[in-house]
Amino acid sequence: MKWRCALFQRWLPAYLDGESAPFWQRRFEAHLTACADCRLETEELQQVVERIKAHPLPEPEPAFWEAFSRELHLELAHAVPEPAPRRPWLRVPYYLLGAPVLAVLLLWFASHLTLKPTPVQNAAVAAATDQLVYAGMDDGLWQGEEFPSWDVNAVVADLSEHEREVLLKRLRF
Amino acid sequence: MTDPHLVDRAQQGDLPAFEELVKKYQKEIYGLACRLVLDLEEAKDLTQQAFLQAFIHIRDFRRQSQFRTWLFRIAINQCYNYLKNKKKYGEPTDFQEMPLPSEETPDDTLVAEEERRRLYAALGRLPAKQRAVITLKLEQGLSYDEISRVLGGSAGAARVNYCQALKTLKKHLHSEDNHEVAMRSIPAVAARISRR
Ligand SMILES: [Zn+2]
Repeated sequence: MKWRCALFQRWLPAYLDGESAPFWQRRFEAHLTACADCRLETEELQQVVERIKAHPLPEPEPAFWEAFSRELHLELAHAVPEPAPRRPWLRVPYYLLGAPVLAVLLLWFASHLTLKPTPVQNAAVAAATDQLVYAGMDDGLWQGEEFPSWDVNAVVADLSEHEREVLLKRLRF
Repeated sequence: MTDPHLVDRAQQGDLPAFEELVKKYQKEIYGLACRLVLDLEEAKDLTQQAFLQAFIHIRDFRRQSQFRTWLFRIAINQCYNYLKNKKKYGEPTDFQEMPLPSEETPDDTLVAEEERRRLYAALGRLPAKQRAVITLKLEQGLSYDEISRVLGGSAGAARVNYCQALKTLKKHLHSEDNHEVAMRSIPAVAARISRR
């Protein structure tokens, strides 16, 4: 395969959804009119996209969503949103403090009426906390990727120094 | 009511407002989870967990992104965590658990269902994150920029991964389809498939 084709085919999916830069859209179109290999590849990728769109997941029955909402409601009713991260400009009006204070007092009162949690309950709470996935966490989802790397240098190896420079500059998005 | 209104109220602890948001996005989040973990029961559980996490952390949501994108991120983190644990404990992913046609499906839709099965099998062979990127792009209609907000990394990385994912899927589909042709040439196997 010619290096130019290898390069174009890498980016074909982005061309197909029209999300590549206008410069590249024009280059793609010009290349496609001249190259049968890339036209075939384009058609095949388009078919894959259409096949995915033609087979959405089957819609669950209304009964599924009823059970879903019922179960989730029970969990949500027992959950308490965590307080917002402290921000200096955020001042809670004093008259809104009444309810939480009352709740804390009631909880304190209730905890003295009921039995202390057993170690088993504590372990369950610890395990549940362990599984929490905090949304704002910077977990580096792309790190340790199993994707083959997009090694542009390998594709452009047969170009002159200058050509390579020009191409790499244009490749940046 | 718009998302910002509902989020406002949910941040003040208004559960019905949050449940309205759940109703609005449950289908998308469930679909995403199904695609990621390839197990309908687990997907339901993970969807509920994602909403529960969203509710607990609702006050961390600072409107730098859309609420929907924020939800996707939580859901994907839940699924990713689940898959990581599953991998750690050595349970194989079984895409056969994905829905298949019932016995009384007419013959012509059987062909379509067979095609669906092969598509799901091919998707099942992709790494979870490639499935995520394909689902977010093609089913949820996110731009590369939005995908990068969900999955982290740059919009450029999202584009590279989408291109790579689609090309890998094409390869897997090709081998699934070829496998199917080979199977159909064996009468006993073909008969078993058509009975499905
Ligand atoms: Zn070409």
